[in-house]
This record gives sequence, C-alpha cells and structure tokens, in this order.
Amino acid sequence: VSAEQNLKDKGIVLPAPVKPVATYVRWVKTGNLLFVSGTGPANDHPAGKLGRDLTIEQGYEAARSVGLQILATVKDAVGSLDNVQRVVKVLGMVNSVPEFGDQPKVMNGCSDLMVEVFGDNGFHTRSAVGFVALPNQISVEIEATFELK
Amino acid sequence: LFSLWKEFTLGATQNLIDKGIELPAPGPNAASFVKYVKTGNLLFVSGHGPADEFPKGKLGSDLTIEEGYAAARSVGLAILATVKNAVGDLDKVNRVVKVLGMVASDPEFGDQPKVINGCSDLFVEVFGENGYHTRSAVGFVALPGHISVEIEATFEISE
Repeated sequence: VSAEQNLKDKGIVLPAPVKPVATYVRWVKTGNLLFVSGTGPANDHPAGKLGRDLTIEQGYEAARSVGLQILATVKDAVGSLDNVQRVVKVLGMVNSVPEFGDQPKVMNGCSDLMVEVFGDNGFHTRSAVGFVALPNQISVEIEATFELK
Repeated sequence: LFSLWKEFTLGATQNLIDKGIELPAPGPNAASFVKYVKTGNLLFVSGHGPADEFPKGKLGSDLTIEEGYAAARSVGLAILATVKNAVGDLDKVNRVVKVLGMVASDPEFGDQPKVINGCSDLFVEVFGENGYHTRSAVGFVALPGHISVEIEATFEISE
C-alpha cells in the first residue's frame, strides 16, 4: 500500500509545512527514526479548552488538522510518505479543563488520519492526555515519532 | 583546516570554557528512577528541575516569562551535567534530538515556548547547529515540589 497513492485516492491535501517560531526545528532524523516536534492545528481552527470552549467534534477536527501538518513535515523531511515504514509513537496533548476526560476521542482525529494514510502501518503507540495550557491556547498539540525505511 | 574542523565539530566542551558556562554537580536520584538510560546511540534523560534557588510557582500567576526563561536555562545546565556524567564528555554528543518542556502554568498562560527557549538557547550555545532539536513546550497544572519548569531530553551519542 502506497501512502502517497492513498493521499491521492482519498483526496487528502497536505498543507505547506510550517516554520518554527522559537529555538527548535520541525524534525530530527536519528538512525531510522524521525522525530517530529510538537505541532498545532491550522490557524482557522478555534483556540480554547476542551470541556469549556470546544466540542469533542471540534477537537477531533483540530487533531486531524495537526496530523496533516505533521505529515507535511514528514514529507518535507524524507521526500515522500512512501519512505515511512510505520508510525511509532504519538503524544497527544489536549488543552483541557480539569473535568474533561475524553482526550482519546479528540486524539482519534490524528490517529484515524494516520491509519487512513499508512494502513496497518499507521497504527501507533499513543498517550492522549489533558494539559492545563498550550502555547497561544491552541486546542491540541501533537508530537510524533516515525520509523523510516 | 583540521583545527578549524575540530573547533566546529568537537567544540561543546570548549564552548563551555569559552562562554564561562559552569555545569552544576549531577544530583542524586530522588525516587524510583534513574537520571538517564542509554539505548543504542540514544541517551534518554529524565525530567530535570532548576537549581534550588529558583523561585517556585506557576507561570502566568507567580512568575514572569523572564524568571521562567532563567529557570529553563538552569534546567538545561542540570541536564548537561547529567549527560556529561553519563557519557564522560559533552563532545561525545552528536546532537540534541528532542526536548519536552513542561511549564507549570496558569490555565490562561500561553507563552510556554518563550520560557523553554531558556533551555533551547543554551543547547544551541553549547552544541552549535547540533544543538537544535525537536520540541514540545506545553503547560502542566502542577510539577513536583511546585518547581516552575521540568524538562526531559533525548540526545544522539557518537560511538
């Protein structure tokens, strides 16, 4: 199964990769692992906390947007998504009020996208947890690790 | 030319001396974990806090961004002390791979990146281009002992 072909077949369009706004880089390759920095959703997704400002559906859409941004970074790093062997690990950071407990449903927005694009190789280890505050109060931030061919 | 190459590629220890950066003594383990684990050519470093003299509290309510930045730099120094203790010599570090910056935050505080730059800037000072790393800088509701910043990091080590 070709990830690039999946993108075409499903009409999934990747955004332009964003530039870091502080002292870090978007990705680092070490051995056959590619580490991707914590990434936020596109600017048109509303800021705020799950459990107060946003619905689970809005959080899911934001997490999918983050996933697209991460894939754009991966493609920028290794040239083609077909150079990805599998998704290894995802840390899903959800801007949450203390009583909110549906972080997994939010993070599925990113995880479902990875499976859409990479098939069985898109399944990954994951933590989906609540954070008291994220930069500029974005709703979701996600960092990820990929194994390369 | 060799000496030039050496300066740019083997310079972390020299950078510390040139910039007058002093590393603290690596601290003892405080609970049932270790400060680092090496697997393959990766070195994982546990969450570290700042030196004791840095004020406790949350960003956005108790501390300014500048105080947070200084605390994050202190954490970076503690991490480098642990790395040096682990591999003997900072010149054995190929590059910084990843940093997770955990900032004790008021719910409405959103400048975690400016705080964690205190650590990230230090790594670039010490390792040059190889000091740049992937990063998440995010807000936590409470950290051990109410420290303001905790950071964990991953390094690639040369064999």
